[in-house]
Amino acid sequence: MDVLDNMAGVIGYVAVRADDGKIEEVKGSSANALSDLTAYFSSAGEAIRNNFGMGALDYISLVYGNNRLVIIPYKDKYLGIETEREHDPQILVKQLSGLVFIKKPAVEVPRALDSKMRQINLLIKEFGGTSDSNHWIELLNQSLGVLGRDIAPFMGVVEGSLVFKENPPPENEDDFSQALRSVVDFLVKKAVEEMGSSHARARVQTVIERMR
Amino acid sequence: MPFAASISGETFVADAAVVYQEQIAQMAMVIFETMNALGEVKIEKIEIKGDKKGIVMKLEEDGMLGTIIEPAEGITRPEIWKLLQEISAKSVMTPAERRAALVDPGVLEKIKGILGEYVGDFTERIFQNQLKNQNIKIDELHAEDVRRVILALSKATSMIVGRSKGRELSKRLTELVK
Repeated sequence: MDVLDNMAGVIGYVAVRADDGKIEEVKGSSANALSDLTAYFSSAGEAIRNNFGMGALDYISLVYGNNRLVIIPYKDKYLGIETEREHDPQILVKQLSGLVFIKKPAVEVPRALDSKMRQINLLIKEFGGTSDSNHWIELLNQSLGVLGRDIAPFMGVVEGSLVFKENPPPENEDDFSQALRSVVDFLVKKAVEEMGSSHARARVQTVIERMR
Repeated sequence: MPFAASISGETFVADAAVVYQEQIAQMAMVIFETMNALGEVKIEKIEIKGDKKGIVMKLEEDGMLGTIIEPAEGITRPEIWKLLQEISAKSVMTPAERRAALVDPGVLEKIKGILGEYVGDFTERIFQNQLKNQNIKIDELHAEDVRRVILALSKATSMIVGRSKGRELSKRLTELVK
């Protein structure tokens, strides 16, 4: 599933078992209940496909709010992949089946955004240490979903670090920078809550020194 | 092969889709029940694509409009959605009825004010993000939209300041629109 972690435009995804709807994996920063949507609609979609004699299922696509969920059968699972609503589900299916390869331009992130991203990665490392990193990555994903709605499709956590998957539009640089600042504020607030203000302050200080 | 189905169980089909009338009624029931079970997400469009046939549906407050497509028809996705949009625009509701069903957008400012008591500096960002997420049109605000915004804001607040505060906010905001 690593291909989805790196795919531009993917906000989040879930894998559910086709036979019983059990959730196997949830990743990304979606603020929606992807697991429920995928489990319920894959089951409904199968019933409809059988009833209408539609042949092998290519995909089910749901549009809600500003998002789209594309449900794709994959081996003995269904993948539910959330994108922005304008994303063409047919292109997503082709990308995943290897029929279309979209050459990505090299990612060049403006310095202000790169610096914020670095700061977030250092905070996650500092707060999570070696034993609690999954908890902090989960908080990072949640905060991206709630505070960084517009920037979320451009970013993702790959191998434990926040990265840009594609170039952010230059006209959004200020807004994206503010969104990342909110994520930083949120992470620091959580650290104060969870480890007390003096511990949190000391770790933030370490990050500030590393940023120099 | 266009069709329409209401939440109350009626189906209307074009001549070409008559053979599918029963399946359309069953499908509509399955979809409405599934959406009911999921509750908080307002699904606007559904596409189900198989290698022999496809179905696209636009969901309305009281039913759905859709069409069954066979690959031989050679019609593209944008063309189908344009067609459904045109049919949907010819709603049986008059403009006066539509206006009467609207909610005063001022309620959103009140919601934002209360939200601010819970999430402080994050208020503006959370509020704007959730309006965008829920695709809210301020000049065409319905009670159902407000309910969805309240739910989304309460969920976001739970993430920032904890579940009990999120629940408390939800209660206060729901009181506001009763």
